[in-house]
Amino acid sequence: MSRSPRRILIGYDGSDCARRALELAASLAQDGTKVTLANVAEVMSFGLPDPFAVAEQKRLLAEGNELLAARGIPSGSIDPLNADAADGLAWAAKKVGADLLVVGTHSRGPLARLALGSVAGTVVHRVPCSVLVVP
Amino acid sequence: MVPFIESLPEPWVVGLTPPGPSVEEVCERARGAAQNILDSSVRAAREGPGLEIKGELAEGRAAHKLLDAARDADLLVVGTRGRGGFAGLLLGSVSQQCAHHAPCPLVIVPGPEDGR
Repeated sequence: MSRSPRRILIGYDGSDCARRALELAASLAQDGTKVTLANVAEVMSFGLPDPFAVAEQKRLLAEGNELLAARGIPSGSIDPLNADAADGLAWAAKKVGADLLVVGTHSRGPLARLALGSVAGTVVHRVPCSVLVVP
Repeated sequence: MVPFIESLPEPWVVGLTPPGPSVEEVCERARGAAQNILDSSVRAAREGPGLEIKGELAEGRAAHKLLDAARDADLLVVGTRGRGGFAGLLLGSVSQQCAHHAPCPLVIVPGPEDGR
C-alpha cells in the first residue's frame, strides 16, 4: 500500500470501536476508493442460521452504510457472514480484493476483550493486505 | 515526526559463560546491526515527501517498547515477518501483542509470506 488504499473493507459490528474504525476508514477514503462493509458473526441456532441474528447483522450493515453516506462516502456491503470473525473477515477481504482491512479492537460482548488480539492478530496472517486496527 | 524503532532482545546471562564472545560483545554487535537497519530505514523514509523522520533505537521486548513509544502517537505501524500459524500461536507475534494493547490505531502490514 504505497499510495492511499483503493479498496477498503471495514469489519463493522456497531460497537464504539467499530464506529471509530469506520470514521478513520472514512478519513482515508478518497475519490474512487471502493468502501465495503462486512459483518461476521457465528449465528447458528439449532444447526441453522438464527434469522433474528441475521436480521440484526443486516441492520448493522445498513447503519454502517448510512454513517458513511453521512460523511459523503458511497459504500456497499457484502451479505452477512456466518463464520468465525477472523475467517470471515479474511474471506471477505479476498473477495473484494481489499488493500486495507479496517477493524475495531474489541467487538461487542463481555468476552470480546479476550478474543480481540486473536481476531486482529489472526486475520493479519490470513489476508494479503494491510490491517488497520482501531482501539 | 515518525520515529522508527528497532528493538534488541534484553541481554540475559546464564550461570556458565561459554567460551566465545562475551555477552557485552554480542549485545554490542546486535546494537550495531540494529543501528544499521534503523539508519537505512530512516534514509529510505526520507526519500518520500517532506516528512520529518526520526530514528530511535530501543532495547527490550519489541512489543513493550513499541507500545511505550506509541503512547502519544496517532498511529503505530508495524510489519509482520510471517510467523503466523502454529508458531505464531505459541510465540505470539509482535503485531498480535500490539493489536492487543494498542493505545492508538495500528496498521499491520503483512510480510511476503502472509495471506497467500
